[in-house]
Amino acid sequence: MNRLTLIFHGARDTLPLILAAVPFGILFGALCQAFQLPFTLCLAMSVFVFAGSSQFVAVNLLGVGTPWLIVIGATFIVNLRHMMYSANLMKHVRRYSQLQRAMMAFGLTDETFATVLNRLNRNQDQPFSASYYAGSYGLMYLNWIFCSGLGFVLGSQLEDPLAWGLDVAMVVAFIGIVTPLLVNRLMWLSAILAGGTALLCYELPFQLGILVSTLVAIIIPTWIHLHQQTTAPTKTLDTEPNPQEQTS
Amino acid sequence: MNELTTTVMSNLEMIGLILGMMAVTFGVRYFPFALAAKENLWGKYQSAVETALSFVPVAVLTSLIVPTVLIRNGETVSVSLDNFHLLSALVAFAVAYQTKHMLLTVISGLATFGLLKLLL
Repeated sequence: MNRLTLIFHGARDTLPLILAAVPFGILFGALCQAFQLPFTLCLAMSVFVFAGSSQFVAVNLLGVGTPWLIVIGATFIVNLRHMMYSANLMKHVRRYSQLQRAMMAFGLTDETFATVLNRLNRNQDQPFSASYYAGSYGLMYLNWIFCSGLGFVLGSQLEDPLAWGLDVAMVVAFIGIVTPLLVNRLMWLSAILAGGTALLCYELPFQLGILVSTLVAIIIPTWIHLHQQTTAPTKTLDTEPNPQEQTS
Repeated sequence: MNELTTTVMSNLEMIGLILGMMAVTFGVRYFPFALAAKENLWGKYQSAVETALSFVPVAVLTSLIVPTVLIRNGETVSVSLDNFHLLSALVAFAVAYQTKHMLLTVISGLATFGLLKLLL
């Protein structure tokens, strides 16, 4: 497959998630406008930071008078989860130069990570492709900047943007990403632990609860998986025989 | 909104804010990529780390989904038919589980939400 086709496929496969990111971007712009932040600050955040949920947190913090240095600290905490994303893709970027890696890292959003990972899971024979990655994040990036600006301009007309329930788009997009990944009991356990712990830790500041629940939902299933391997080395969850496959 | 207390910043402070947010965001995304040089970076913990990383997407995204869906209008968990986010999420989950189709999932979830808002 040539480079242009790969870029196109990356953009195409991200489209459903971009559809869901449209209201999210508009909501961000509208919030900036509602909090009377300058248009340039709103756009600069989308152009240079490019991290949806941390931008939301930042704007909400600025809206209640939080000092800007603290906003930077909160951004760091909210985006820490992206370190787990890039750790996940580490082995695939080894053959690229540091400059290329840096460019890919800048665009490592939830959406692009999910799209790239989905392709790797689906087609074992298709290797990781930087062009595919660029196609996914290029469209995501342009859309995000455009929608932030649009939201700011529309802002005064959307009376209470949150009441529109625009955040439901993000939820259904993430459900579309997670559900196909629930392929065995440990993945289900991870999801249940994540959801339960996130609810319990909801009141922690700066979305710290999400970090706690993420760690719980990673560490416990991992421990169980490794424990199963040491006690029954010939059988793992992933290789359980599937009777339907055997008969066909 | 009549109780606005938005942080007032000079231009320099705004540049500082953007640069700072950019630096920490890019930093966390780039750090593991920068290290990705060796075949077997984690040594004897390689398989443990790879197993742990395989849970990352489910763990992170479910942590984001569940509170957004269940905690509406404040601090308490809301499980009722009035919670349109919950109903839309359940429809999206059912469609995703049956079809594994991203676009269908997003559209059915959004359509459910839109219909509920429109009709009720």
